[in-house]
Amino acid sequence: MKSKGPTVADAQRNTTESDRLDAACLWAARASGEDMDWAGFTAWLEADPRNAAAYDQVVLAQDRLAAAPASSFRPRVLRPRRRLGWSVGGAAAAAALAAAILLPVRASDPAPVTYSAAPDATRQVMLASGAQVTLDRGAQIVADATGLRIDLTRGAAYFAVDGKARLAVAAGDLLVRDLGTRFDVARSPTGVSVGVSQGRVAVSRRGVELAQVAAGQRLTAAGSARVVVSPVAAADVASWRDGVLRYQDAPLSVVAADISRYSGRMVTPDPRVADLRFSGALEIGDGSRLVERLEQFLPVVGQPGDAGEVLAPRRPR
Amino acid sequence: MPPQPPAVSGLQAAYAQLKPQLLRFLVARLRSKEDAEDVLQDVALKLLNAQVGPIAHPESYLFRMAHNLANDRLRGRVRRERREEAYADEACQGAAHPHVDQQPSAEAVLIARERAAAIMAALEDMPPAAARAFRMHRLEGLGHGEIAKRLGISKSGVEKHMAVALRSLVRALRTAGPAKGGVSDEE
Repeated sequence: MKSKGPTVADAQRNTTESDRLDAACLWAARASGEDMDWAGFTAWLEADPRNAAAYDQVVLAQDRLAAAPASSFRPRVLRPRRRLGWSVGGAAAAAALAAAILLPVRASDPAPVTYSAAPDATRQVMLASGAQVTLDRGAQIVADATGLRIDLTRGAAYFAVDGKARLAVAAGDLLVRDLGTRFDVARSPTGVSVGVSQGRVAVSRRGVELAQVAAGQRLTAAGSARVVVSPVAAADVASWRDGVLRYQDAPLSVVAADISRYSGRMVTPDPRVADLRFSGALEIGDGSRLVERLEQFLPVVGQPGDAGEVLAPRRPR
Repeated sequence: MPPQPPAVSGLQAAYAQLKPQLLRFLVARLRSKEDAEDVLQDVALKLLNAQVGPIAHPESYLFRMAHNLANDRLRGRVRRERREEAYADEACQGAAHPHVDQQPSAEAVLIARERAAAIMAALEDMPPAAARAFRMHRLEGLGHGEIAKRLGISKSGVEKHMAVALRSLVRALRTAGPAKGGVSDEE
């Protein structure tokens, strides 16, 4: 090996430092997708202990990005020096632009704060109240300035409250009041579900208390009438944090409601299989193959129905 | 009905089989054999307590779990460092309640504002395709597969865009770090 002068070595150290971060970012981007090469990642980490340190930096930066309000990511609107021609594509971008125009962007606003999670990654948020919230893929909450009143506008979120703070979480027409605990609230096209892994919550609708839900219980509210409380393993509450939906002896309707949350359309069991129960875990992935995965374990088959997808009994071959 | 028991032992079997690779990954990731063994223990406990059932890809499931728990461990380290610093700070100021992160201080608001500005600037300065992919992901909530479809590129192309975007955001957040030592998570 050829020896190099100190200046060359210095220059090289700087380049490789930057290269290391480049590589760390690529691995982090891959890790958030579906096809991660874990052996390759291990080999890269082992090649140089500084690689792991670079990856640490990227993970912590990702946490900061996750904690930053959505407005930080919107294009600024009036930028005269912006080249024309980079198209922003689609109605959603137009909506984002409109939102950027309509919403004053001030970090110090005591106004409600919206937090959203990307579709393929969960997100951790600490609210002003000290409550720790984990947002599921694609979920969104709006928290008031105190961080005590939260509106779950989309998807599912897991709340961990230590100490005296008492949260009130609205989901559709349900209000979940925390009585010192850890719990998750999920909204899907088929209704709302509340699972408690520790402590107790009170659930009410328009000021009328419907039920208190204790650790190891799950409340499901479909439509405006039915509210069902069923047992759930505390460890399975918000199992989506591990990238899976985990059940023990859960009614198919509960599984279907969770799947609806990811596929974005109504998934309901056909009455003929409504009594089926499921124990096991479904890997969430990008959410598009959950029905397919369920089909591997239960004698059901997903079929297009009047409103979304129906889990129909599978005919024996 | 559900073919549970064999499938459960399937994941346990996968864990038993992958244990050496998982440990190797965790040692490399955490640069500490002790921490790695702790985290592997956490993985095992989680599998046990949760009675995880059948999983389509046990290997990626287990690695992802180990990866996430390792990141939690890293966050724990950083929090501990911060708390110790805060204790030291408070001790100097003679404050009675050395608890951190209870209320967003004026300083925290300032840092948040600075970071928001840094993120905006970084998105404007990075290659437009990277910014576009990143915004689709972050604002429209799209996954890599969907972004690939919309941009008419491969998934690995999306990964590259995301990596470029992430790289300039990491750089931006580094320079927009806190003025004071409060958030010393940059090492």
